Amino acid sequence: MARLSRRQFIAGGLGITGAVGTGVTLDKAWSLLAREDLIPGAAPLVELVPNAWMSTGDRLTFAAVGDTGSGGRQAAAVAERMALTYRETPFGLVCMLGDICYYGSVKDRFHDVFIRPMTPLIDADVKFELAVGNHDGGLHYSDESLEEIDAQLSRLGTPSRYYVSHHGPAEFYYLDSSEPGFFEDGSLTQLGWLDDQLASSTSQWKFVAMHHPVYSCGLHGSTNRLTEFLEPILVRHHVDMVLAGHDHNYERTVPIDGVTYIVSGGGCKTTSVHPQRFTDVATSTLEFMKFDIDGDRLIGEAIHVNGSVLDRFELRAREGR
Amino acid sequence: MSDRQRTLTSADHISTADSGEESPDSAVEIGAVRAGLTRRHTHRFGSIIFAIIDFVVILAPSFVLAGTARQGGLPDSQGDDLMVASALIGAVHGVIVWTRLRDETRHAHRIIDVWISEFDSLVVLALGATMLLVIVLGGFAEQHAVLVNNGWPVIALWTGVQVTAVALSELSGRVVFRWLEPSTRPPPACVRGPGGEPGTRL
Repeated sequence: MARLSRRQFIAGGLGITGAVGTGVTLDKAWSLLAREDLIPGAAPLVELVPNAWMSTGDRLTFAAVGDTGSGGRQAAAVAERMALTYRETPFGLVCMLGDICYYGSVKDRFHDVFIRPMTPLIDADVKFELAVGNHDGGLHYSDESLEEIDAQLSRLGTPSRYYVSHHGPAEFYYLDSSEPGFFEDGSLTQLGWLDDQLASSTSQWKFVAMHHPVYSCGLHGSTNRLTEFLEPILVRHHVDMVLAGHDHNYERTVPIDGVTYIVSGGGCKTTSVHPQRFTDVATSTLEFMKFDIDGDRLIGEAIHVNGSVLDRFELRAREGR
Repeated sequence: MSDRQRTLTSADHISTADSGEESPDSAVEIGAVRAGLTRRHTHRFGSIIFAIIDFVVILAPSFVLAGTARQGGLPDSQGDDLMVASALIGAVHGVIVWTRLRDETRHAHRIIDVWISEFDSLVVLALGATMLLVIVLGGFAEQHAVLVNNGWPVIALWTGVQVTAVALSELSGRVVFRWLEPSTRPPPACVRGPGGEPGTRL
């Protein structure tokens, strides 16, 4: 075999080195492409009748979805399905379960990640309420991340990082479940607030919404600090249902001490599920939730992005409510 | 007698040589024939294989994205536009690669230079066709979102990024080949000389 010239050696060596590096890089890049929702999505072309929902003292229809913040095609597909569902069963409220902005700052991307996909519902005057997520402000609550969170809250008209809202027969308690937010510099201020609010509530239905799941069989799994510090409060005050995102899948647990835990994080991406002993239903797919309350009866549906119903369940209001 | 006829005569002479009738010139002629066969094989099979690999590398990212969408529950048609665009770009580039390799194998002093430069080009393509997409789509989400908000189709962004990757790949392949074979010149163009027939080589 003829000897390689110096140039051949250099060019060939660079090629082989590049090939090895490319192989490693491509493995990560393809994982990223497979995991994220990077292709920009167009606004759904669905026209809706504004204010078409019914909300009385004992009736309410609302939706919930988490982790929608890509601005991509998959997020647009979920938003379109929400709009098409509104056409059949109008709802006046959407609980956003956190992570409404990926890949950048909400100041720069708010239109892409929220306005564009949710245009039909926004034009129909549907109200959006937000539970802050870990991607919405980061985990360490620097001044910059707090500024980011405030920017999000103000754009959505959210009063603060944790708050309560009343809609018909239900009360919604939104929490900031991020590590720094939950403990607020080591204190339990947020938990104390929740405990007091739930204690004084006379509402027929009590829902708690936050980003991190108390119980989850998804990629991140259950959140230990929530099972340790939050769950006793939920059980003590007979909360009916807890809504969360963070894991990009759908899951409904069996009632745990009377509380049903829902994970609805398939707003734009999907990750795997590994059903646990507390799991009743779990699936890795793009989806959102719709709930219909009529008196003491709640029907919950997990709706697939193609319109089919993934899961349907019924809850009864606690005795005496 | 043309070069081709001389080559065939030499090939015929090979069987005679196998029977033991060797002459001092036959070794050189055999080598020339084998070199000719090697270059023809390189052009015929190597060019096709590299063109196919190029096509697959360009198509791969769109395939991954379409699979992700399907896994999430979106219909099979999601991502078809990206796959079609990538397939077209891949097909065109495949033809360009085949043409370039054909020319290079004809004029290269050493066949291995063709292989090395094409391999380097392929590495650049593999990196560019995927990483550029990841960087542009993920790292510049705000910037390209402006395009979408102004009504530009996403396919224009996708095509632009992939064409850029292809251009970088072609440039790197040609630069490396030129560096390895600085004395190789393309054939002179066929021009009409004064009073000459069209196609007369000067």
